[in-house]
Amino acid sequence: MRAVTALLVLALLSLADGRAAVAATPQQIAAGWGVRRAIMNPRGDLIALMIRERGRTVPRIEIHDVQTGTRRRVLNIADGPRIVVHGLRWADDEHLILTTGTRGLNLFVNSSAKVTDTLVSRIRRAPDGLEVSEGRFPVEGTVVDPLPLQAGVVLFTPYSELGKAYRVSIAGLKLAIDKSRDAARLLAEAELAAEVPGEALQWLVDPKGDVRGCVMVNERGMQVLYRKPGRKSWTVLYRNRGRELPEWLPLGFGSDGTSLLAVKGDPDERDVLYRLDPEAGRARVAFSSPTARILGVAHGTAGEIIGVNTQDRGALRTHYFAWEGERRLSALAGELQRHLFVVGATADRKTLLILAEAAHDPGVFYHRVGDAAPTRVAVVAPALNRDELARVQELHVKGRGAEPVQAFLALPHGHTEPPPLVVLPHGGPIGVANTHHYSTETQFVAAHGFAVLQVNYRGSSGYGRAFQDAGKRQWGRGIEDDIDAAVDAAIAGGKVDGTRVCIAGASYGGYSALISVVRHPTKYRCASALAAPTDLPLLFSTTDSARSEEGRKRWVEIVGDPDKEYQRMIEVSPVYQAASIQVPVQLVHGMADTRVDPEHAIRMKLVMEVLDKELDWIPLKHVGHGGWVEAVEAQFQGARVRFLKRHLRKRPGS
Amino acid sequence: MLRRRSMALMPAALLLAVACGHGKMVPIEDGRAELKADQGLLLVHTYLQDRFSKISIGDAFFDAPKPGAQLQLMMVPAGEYRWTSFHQGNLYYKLDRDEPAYAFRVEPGQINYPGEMVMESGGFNRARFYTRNRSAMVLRDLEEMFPQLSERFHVAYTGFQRDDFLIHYRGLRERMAGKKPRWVEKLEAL
Repeated sequence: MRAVTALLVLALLSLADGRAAVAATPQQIAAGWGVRRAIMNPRGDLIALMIRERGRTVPRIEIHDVQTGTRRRVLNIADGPRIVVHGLRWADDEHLILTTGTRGLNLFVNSSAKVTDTLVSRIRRAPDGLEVSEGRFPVEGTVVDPLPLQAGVVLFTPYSELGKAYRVSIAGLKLAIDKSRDAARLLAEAELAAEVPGEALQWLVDPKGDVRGCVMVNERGMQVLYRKPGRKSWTVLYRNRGRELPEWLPLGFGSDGTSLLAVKGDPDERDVLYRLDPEAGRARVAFSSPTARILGVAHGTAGEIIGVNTQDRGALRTHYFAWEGERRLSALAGELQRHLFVVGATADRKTLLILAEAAHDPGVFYHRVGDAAPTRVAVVAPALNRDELARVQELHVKGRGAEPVQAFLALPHGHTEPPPLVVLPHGGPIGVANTHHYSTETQFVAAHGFAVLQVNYRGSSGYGRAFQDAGKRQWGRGIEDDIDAAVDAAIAGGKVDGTRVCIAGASYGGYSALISVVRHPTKYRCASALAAPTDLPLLFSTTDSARSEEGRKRWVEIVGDPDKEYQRMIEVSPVYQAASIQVPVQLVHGMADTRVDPEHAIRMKLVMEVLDKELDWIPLKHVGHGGWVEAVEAQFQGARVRFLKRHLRKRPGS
Repeated sequence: MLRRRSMALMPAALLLAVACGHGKMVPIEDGRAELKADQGLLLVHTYLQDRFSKISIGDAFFDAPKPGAQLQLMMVPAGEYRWTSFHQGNLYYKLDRDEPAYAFRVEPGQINYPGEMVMESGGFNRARFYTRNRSAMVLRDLEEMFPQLSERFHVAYTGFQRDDFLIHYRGLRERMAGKKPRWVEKLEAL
């Protein structure tokens, strides 16, 4: 009965959200104004909201008081094109931490910035509402763990001392600071919680708040360190030469405070989560699945690990450790036809913050205490009318490989006849996948009147290791066979116009677009390639991740060996096969891309020009392979849609 | 990431070579070069984030190019070569002698492009060195800077990993040389 009540409330609230919205224009979809994130404090009574506003780079932060249903703005930071927000976390029930950075010279890549400012807001209940006081860290560095069970204290590593972690009090921080004086005082009063002889990449804190592990790098390579409770000295658990991935990647301490939850360093082995016992030197399986790929662990609001986040057969799922509510949650998700994600859970699991979303709904955050009916906290991108967003259906296609292939077909709102089709192969190609969740990119393209097809071809993650391995060395071959099969199935279904099809993608997806118009000179009307490899052997003499011995081995495994298979690689390299291309091609490439060097795009451009092929060339100065700021993303998405419209608008014979 | 060392620890033979220079590598200043039968042209392409005084290839030292992207053409004896060290006054970085990406060939009678040598500063006394193949990107600059030499001599990539792009592109250019552009054909068809 209670579940039914909850279900009805959720359903009614969802309908109300839809009615409040205005329209789902491409601009609204791309911008996604409104609440983007929500995080709950350990006690479960305050929720911090990160809100994107029109005309501002820096999001607004608001506190939603669950008890009163009111909101209060906090951490009001000045806007600026160079400001990057890195994170928002609760340090305890009352302290909220916001970390921001300033972009370096490269204005176009988010990752070029490091944390330069750490702001703290103290939010306390007072008789007349919430009382707020704010402060700022006087030292540049990173809050490596908020230590949510220790009130007013966080674990902090200054940039000047990357091998040290200090337990720092945040209770007395003020906004107006005298940097040198306050910095000296902050560190002098702080307790040195841990020190390692190198640069700490990750500190591991046990459930009691003691620093008991560290992933560290120094001249001797990368090491995973461990120590017993109360000890100062470290034991090396695992060692690797250079900066390569270690044998194990620890994700955190288990609830027993002794075992470490970890995955293997090898990216192909991310389907098993292990529980390592450092003292006994044993590893036991904590979670495994024949299909799921582990993305990370889920934390409760007190910092404890409560489950494992996975990608499984085209969906993101969290598998909770010993939580009886999981079954009820998945039943409710089925009834509501929404994916339900617990984004916050108190230690007793009685108070939850839940995101309900779907492929055609960016989501709504709900707060629920015990068995009470959930209350709505915030709507994600509230201006978007959910009824006008594209509906996404799953296709299961018999590919030319051994396994069937899952694909997603989004059909635009309001079409009266079969719309033109845009095929969007994903990047990777190994260990990446599209999911049946809300996608800004899919909805943006669909809002222009196109159907969108995304194919989880062989090599995609979430379908088991054999399926993932089957995509290796299948560039321009088996992978594209799967994409062809899905395109044929979508056309045969009669819901799209098979005479108006273009293919577009980024990174491997861009390569796939180019090689698809080589393989099928008349099947597609155009191809748009962003940051695409165009010459496969060239990957081995330009790509940043192929410079080391380990990295090169991985590329050989995925692409092929240029020393032994040069000719075979040339046969599937667009630069060498461009003479077969009969349709317009768009090439977009960041000139600061270190993963797929701009040399790839320049080669393709030179070849297309000398062969007198139709080319739309868009070089993006100072832009890297990913992590773009929104202005660059908007520039690219806009240029791509204009290109697609130009070539898909006309019907045959018109 | 390499650590910068002091010249005080440098082997005596190398010190002598730095002091004397080698004389085997002759920079092309005026866009003209008369190659002997056993000589080739070497296109030195560098991107340095820091200022250096000397650079060595094998045991030959030459004045370091300026910071930023630079192209320099040199006349050198044919043979096997390797980037070896980068000098800043009394301090230097010595490159790993087993790294295959630092090795290249010079074939006689052609312009040899071994890829771009990149130096990224990694903070105090530290730097990262690597090569990247930018044959296509460098081709237009080469043709603009040395039009006569790039017409007289073929350009070939001779660095780490086999790469036939320049041969392929030259073939396409030759094949398409007499063809009318698409827009002319369209105009004539009107």
